[in-house]
Amino acid sequence: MSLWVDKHRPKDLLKLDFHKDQAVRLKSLVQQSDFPHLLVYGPSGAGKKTRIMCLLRELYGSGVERLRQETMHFTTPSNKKIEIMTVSSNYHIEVNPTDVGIYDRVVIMDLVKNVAQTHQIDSSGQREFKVVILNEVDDLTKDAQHALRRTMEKYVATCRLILIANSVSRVIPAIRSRCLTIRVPAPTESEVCSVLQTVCKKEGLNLPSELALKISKCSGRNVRRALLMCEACKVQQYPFKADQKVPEPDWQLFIKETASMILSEQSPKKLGEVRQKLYELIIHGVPPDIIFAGLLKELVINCDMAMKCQVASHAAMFEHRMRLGNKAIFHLEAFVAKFMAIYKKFIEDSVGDAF
Amino acid sequence: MGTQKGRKWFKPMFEFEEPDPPKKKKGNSINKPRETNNYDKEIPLKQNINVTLHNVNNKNWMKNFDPVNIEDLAVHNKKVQEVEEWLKCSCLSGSNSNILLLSGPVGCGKTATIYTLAVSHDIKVTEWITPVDIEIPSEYGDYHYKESQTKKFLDFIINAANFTSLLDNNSKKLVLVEDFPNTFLRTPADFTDILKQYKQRAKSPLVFICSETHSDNKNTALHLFTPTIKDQFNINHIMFNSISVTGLKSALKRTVDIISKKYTTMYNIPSPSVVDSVVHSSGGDVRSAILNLHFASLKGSTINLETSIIQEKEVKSKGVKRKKNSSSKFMSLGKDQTVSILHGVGRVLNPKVVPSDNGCTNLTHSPKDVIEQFISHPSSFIAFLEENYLAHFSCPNDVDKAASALSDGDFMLGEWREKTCQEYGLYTAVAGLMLANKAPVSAWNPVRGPKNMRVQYPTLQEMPQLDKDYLYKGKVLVTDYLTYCKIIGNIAEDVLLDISD
Amino acid sequence: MQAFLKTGKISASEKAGSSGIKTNKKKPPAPWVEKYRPKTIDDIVDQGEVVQVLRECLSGSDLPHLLFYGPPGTGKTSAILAAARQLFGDITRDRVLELNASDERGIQVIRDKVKSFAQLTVSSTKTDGKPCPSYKLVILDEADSMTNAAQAALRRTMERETRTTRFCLICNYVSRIIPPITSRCSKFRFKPLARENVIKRLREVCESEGVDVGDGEVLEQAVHTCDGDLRRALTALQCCQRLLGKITAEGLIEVTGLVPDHLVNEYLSVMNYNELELFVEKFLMDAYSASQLLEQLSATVVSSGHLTNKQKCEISEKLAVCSHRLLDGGAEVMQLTDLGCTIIMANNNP
Repeated sequence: MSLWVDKHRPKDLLKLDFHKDQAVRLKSLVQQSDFPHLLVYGPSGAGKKTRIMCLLRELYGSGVERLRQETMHFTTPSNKKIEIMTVSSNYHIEVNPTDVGIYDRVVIMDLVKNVAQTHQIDSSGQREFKVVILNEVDDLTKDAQHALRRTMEKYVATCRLILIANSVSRVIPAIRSRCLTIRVPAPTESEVCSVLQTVCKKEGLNLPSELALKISKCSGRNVRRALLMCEACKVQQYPFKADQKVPEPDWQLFIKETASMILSEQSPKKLGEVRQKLYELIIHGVPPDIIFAGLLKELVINCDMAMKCQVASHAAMFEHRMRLGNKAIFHLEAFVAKFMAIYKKFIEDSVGDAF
Repeated sequence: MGTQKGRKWFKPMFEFEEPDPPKKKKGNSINKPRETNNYDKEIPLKQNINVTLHNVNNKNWMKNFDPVNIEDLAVHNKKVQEVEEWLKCSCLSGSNSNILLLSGPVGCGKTATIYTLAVSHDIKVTEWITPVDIEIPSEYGDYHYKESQTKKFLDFIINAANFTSLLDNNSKKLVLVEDFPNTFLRTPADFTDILKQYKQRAKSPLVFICSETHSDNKNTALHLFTPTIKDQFNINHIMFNSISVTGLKSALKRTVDIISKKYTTMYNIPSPSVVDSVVHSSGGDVRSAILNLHFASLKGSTINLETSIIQEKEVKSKGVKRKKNSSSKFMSLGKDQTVSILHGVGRVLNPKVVPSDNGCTNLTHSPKDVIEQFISHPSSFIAFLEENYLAHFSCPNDVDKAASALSDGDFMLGEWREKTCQEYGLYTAVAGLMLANKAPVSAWNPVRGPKNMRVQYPTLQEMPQLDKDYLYKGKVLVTDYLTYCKIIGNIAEDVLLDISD
Repeated sequence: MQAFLKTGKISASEKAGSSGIKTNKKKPPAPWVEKYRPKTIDDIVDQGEVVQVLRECLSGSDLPHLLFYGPPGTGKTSAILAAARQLFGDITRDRVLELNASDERGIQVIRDKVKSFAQLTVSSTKTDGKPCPSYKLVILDEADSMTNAAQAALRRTMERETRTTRFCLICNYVSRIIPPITSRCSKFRFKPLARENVIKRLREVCESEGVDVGDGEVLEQAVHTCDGDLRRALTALQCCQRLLGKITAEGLIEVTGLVPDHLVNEYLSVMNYNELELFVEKFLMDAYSASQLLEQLSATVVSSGHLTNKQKCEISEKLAVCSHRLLDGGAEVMQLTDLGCTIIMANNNP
């Protein structure tokens, strides 16, 4: 039993549910004699990967759908063995180089080299290049990004790279200028609704439009999350009701809880408890920048403008340090401590004013 | 002492003292096994350079204080007995090629115990010293290859075990290995071979001595002795602890006695306070204690030390009587490794303040001293601080300052390519924490180790609904899939159960 | 020319790969930037001084060490490449070593590769007997990204090999080149190209490619979006042509990743936090680039008519901080919110 998200993923460029004109353009791109490196960027759940798979199908035919999962092994210059999961077909290979942390550079260089050196033997009727899909390029180390740009030039004859990123800001300009950049904006709320309706129709279900709207609002314009929410709703209660509760991701609830803890009391002891919560979040793999954004959003609700400004600027500062530092928890905690100090003063002042 | 002096005449004949003359023709120049330590290293340099310091004699003065009798050992009686039992068992009873492993922290008297016991039981000890490989050109001017270290080692221990020196008609022998050839650390398999050979061919017991160090446990020889090896070769393992304070005291007392009897020309007789300081600063290391005592009481260099110790005394009588405090002034002499991470954390989070002459207050341990101890592993020290600082604070404003300092520190440590950044980062964090706390909580808090912050992404097994052939990103699994897969999975199972009911 | 450009580093694998496969296939279309690179120095527009010097060299006089600097896309690389080709003709390959930032250019490479190349002696005639200059040329493109250590190593080499080798360094910021090197070179500043010249050039290219660009408006737009950078403009046009099959103003914005002006203005006129939160969310959902927004915002703020100097100061200061953080990889939400807060404060207290 596979999930709706996977089951109803469109397979053809022309059957995509939104950004249809872009799909047409991509199709015409495939028909040209040359195919450039691509940099596909957009927020999570906007359908980047779906588009790319459709594109590959357009390039190579249905052969790309015969996938196999493999673990590849690499050796770093310091002789450390690393392994990484890959999914590949005869025509392409896909990896998340960020899985190996600071060794991403090695993986990129070796992988692309391997692929470039084993080109298709019967290239008749096929494309003369293979495709390497790299996920989360914006989270690669700077070193890896520079290595990537060299690799892109070097093996352009036998392989093409498709890079996927959430934001193009963190991709170095040298890479951007070597790729054809394709922006995939998140679908609008109504587009999400229509996707939900389509899928429900395919499943033979009846989805009230109020609920569809509610889900799409909750999902934050993320199709993947919306579909998962919808399926979860169905499991929890069917037939659907328009005012049904939509389950939120539990880490979001967790962040909200943490924020209300911070607002309830400002003391070192409370900070100790907050720290435990933050540990939990980090260890379970919630990206620290999302924690930062979530906390900021929740914490400033009750503040006045001057304080919002102050808090936002501190959040931005600590988040930046977190990027460059080693231990995310230090900076999250410093932010919380800073907020506590500001907030406590704010409360005391306003109590003082009242008397 | 008597024994050593009595054997002085050996020294000029050192070259002939090789336990195995027949096979050792070539290796002699490089492979100098030290025949016990009954000869004194000459240090002629000092005499020449510094004529005024007449009191430094040309002998290895440490030997003056070596234990002579079993009672002189600072090691706990029980341990000495244990080793003695073994020695008796393996040397005296005639059963051969037993192997013993002694381990313990640095300077806890492992080697001294063996030598002292050996002397008292009239056992001859032959020790392996790994030769320094100096390339000596042959007559033709080219460098020739020497036999491998492994082979040399094997030859040596077996020869030492089986052949008796011409000059020494002692039948009881013991081979001692303290200095492990580096090759074994790289290729433990070779070591097993050596042991096997030794077991088969040698006729004398073999003693290995390994020092344990807290840091860098990667390279210690102790790792060679895996439980399987110990089982296979029936190796006895005796573990030594650091010397207790009483043990140290009595050892130093004996040293002071020796000084006052024989070496008054060389030393000032150390005052009890000096001895106390030395005891506390040495952290259970008897060798470093004696070394410190030597320098602390050496004539001509005493004045500074005495005064510093006296100041120390005053501080102590005023303030809290904590042993650790007394070691601080001895930092330059003392065993600085003894400032473990735990002490360091304590010093930073409970900074002690003393009033200075001009009315200001000073920290007892300046941040500079503290960071000196931890500069080699700044990030782990900061992680410790971060884990523990909160419990010492009472005011959110102070916490804010402290947390910011830690954040700054980590930010600077992030620039790992620059050495100075490491230092400044550590300094910022340490000094920030020491100065931030204006209203400390006075409660005892156990020091906790930092949390392991390795991110653990959910595995595909946890979410059976996922498509096996699709590459999921860890982040997305957490942020999107996890919650819903749980809901969908669980309830689907419930439904199935309902149906089966 | 293509092959020559790659002299820096071609691995054996690539040679094998390309020779195995490319023989029977048609070549992929060359980038317009390469295809329409000026062939002779006379084709170079707007850079009188440099062209003058290069022309003298061509007519026989000696070439000094050169340092070209100026904004990107003003013809620095084109100038030296064209000159090299005219100087050396068909032996360019042997006489010129070109290294750009994508080649390894650490101190080791400077020591080994550049030095050994510089030490080769050359004759003053070509193989066919025609005269040619008796020196070699080392072109270091994007020299400002070389480490200081590598630059220092270069200094010695430059000095010692002057007899047989000329160096040409190309960079955007002359301040990043260490003084000992700048003092050894004749410096030439490349001015930003005049607008009409860029448009003229773009039109020529489009015509020879057979692409319809309509009236001047689209090209105006192209120049505007690319700040007078001819290379970027050409690349943008080609991408647009490739993706859309035609060149339109919207297409250009799309391929260059520009943020539409109305969004920049919206951001600059936020008045309260809720508005800001909504804007930031929407902005990021539409996958625009925050760093691009900041870049455009900076230009807008500086030239804005309705902001007071104080407001401009405050906003620009924060803008600098935020774009630095973005460059280090800071999260876009955070930085945009932070800057947004400053803008709100500035807007509310003119």
